[in-house]
Amino acid sequence: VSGTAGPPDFEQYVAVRRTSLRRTAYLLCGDWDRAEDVVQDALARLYVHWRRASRAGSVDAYARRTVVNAFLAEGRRPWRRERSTDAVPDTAYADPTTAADSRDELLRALAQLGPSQRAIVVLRYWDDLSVEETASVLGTSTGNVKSQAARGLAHLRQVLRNGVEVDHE
Amino acid sequence: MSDLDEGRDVREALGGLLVGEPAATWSPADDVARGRALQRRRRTRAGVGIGLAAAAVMVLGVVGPLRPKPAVVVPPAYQPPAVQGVDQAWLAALDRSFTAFNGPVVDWSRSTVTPTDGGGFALDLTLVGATVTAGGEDFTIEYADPPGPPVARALVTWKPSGGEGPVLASCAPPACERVDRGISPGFVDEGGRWEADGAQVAGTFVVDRTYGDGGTLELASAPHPDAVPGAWDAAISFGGIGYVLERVGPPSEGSSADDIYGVTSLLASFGWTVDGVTAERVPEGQPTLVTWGARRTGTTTDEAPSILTVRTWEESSWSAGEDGINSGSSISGCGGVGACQESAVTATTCDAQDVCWTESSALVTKPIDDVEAGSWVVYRSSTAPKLAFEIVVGPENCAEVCPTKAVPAFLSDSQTAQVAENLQAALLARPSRSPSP
Repeated sequence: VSGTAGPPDFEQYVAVRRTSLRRTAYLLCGDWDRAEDVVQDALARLYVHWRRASRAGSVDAYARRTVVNAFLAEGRRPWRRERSTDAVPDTAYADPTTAADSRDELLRALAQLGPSQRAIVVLRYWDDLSVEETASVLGTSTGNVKSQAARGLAHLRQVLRNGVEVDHE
Repeated sequence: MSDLDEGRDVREALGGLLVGEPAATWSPADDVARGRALQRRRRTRAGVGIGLAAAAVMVLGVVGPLRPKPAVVVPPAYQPPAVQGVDQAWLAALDRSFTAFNGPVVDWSRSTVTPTDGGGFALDLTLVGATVTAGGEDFTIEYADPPGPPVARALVTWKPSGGEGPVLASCAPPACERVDRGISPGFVDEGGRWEADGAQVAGTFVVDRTYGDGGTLELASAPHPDAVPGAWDAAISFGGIGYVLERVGPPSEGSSADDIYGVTSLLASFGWTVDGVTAERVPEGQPTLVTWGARRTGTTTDEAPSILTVRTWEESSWSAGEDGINSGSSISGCGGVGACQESAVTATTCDAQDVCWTESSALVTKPIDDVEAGSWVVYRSSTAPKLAFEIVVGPENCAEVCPTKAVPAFLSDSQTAQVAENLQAALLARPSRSPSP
């Protein structure tokens, strides 16, 4: 650790929460490198707003929102624009193990969700946020979160079920 | 169980995706360095001086993000009481948090507010139904007068010195089960729930949130013993309690003394959650800068979570540039290349006490330090006595989203004016906190 000290507690906060934010970002992006970009971008912004976020007592919510915003904003950039599609191209490398196949299927299923819906599913079912907290992070209505989460959940479950059936065949 | 268990299979599957997670390739010190670099870039971009902004004076009437809102008449039963040592605005914010979560309101005529030793307090709240008209955070409430039957009960305890709250302390098996709730950088949560009648009735949930400075805020939600059969049960579980605690924050010891310039209750009536712990005062006898914030959570797609920051300067604590504006104010950063639009300097107006205030305002279109794009800044100052304050209201966190959106209506024209008038009057009424030069 270098001797550069940020505003009080920022570095400590990053040390404690970075892993969690990075995992959330990975589930959003499906790629560890992009996840690192998103988290680094988000943490730089958090640094700038650290005093205000810590004053408001909502550092976690702020950090999570910044990660999600960074992910959504990244998706808006033309060179990295994503579209929901049923036809996801095959990956270049097919892992021979069944577990890896299921994992690949799940990643594809996540990729088939739109960025906002993916964010809702990840925040609700990975970060364990309530409907209201998820709506707050995304700046959307609770009704939208409920309906999008239900649809996303159904989609992922269908993939999971199919994966199980395949496994047993 | 909680609704989160509905997605347990998916959660486990998502967890499976993290198997083989590579180690992070950077250190927290790198994040500090990147943050500093970003901060420097923003400062450079914002530039200094108000000259260009003043040159871009436009008519105040073009102000975009302002719109009037109808006044709401609140019957007496629904108005939180003024109790010595208890922040009335915080009570109002707590009330509104229950409503924001699932709709009930506090019937204060059937609730008790009891100050306790050491600056704490205990609340026994009766929640009743109300008609809530959806509209994002700007929901309006239609009150039944007189209030209807109780729908739930909430017990709230604030212990500034910390320690377990009385409800959690009474949680013991077999009726009550302790539940680990989690640790966050700013606080630690501990919870409990009653599966059967015991010290509390079955269906009671409690969370004790202990903040970093040691204070503990306990919120217990329980079915109401006097609820009529068939009455809507508005008791909330862990998710709802967490929402309310997050939204309302800890009561401020300082705010109860002066209601933070009399603005907190005003903002609460606008639907803002005032974070009373944000006041920062330097020791008496030194230049005084007070900064505090309030937060409002956006719940519609068009409305980002918003934050309001008030900064006041007194007497010798600031120096003005040639334009007369405090060089430490956010609005002084408007002078950079296109950092602000719709800048306006209004005519100086003098109040009944012959104190004359000059107002400048601007819409920030590019970030200035910790002021996000899309924020509205109002700055007022007087020369005799030498006072200044600034109100910044805008999105809490834009990332790269806000500049592409229409600026949301954070405060109406009249609301902003009311906040400014309150600040003005309160600043004049306050005794001097720092020596005059």
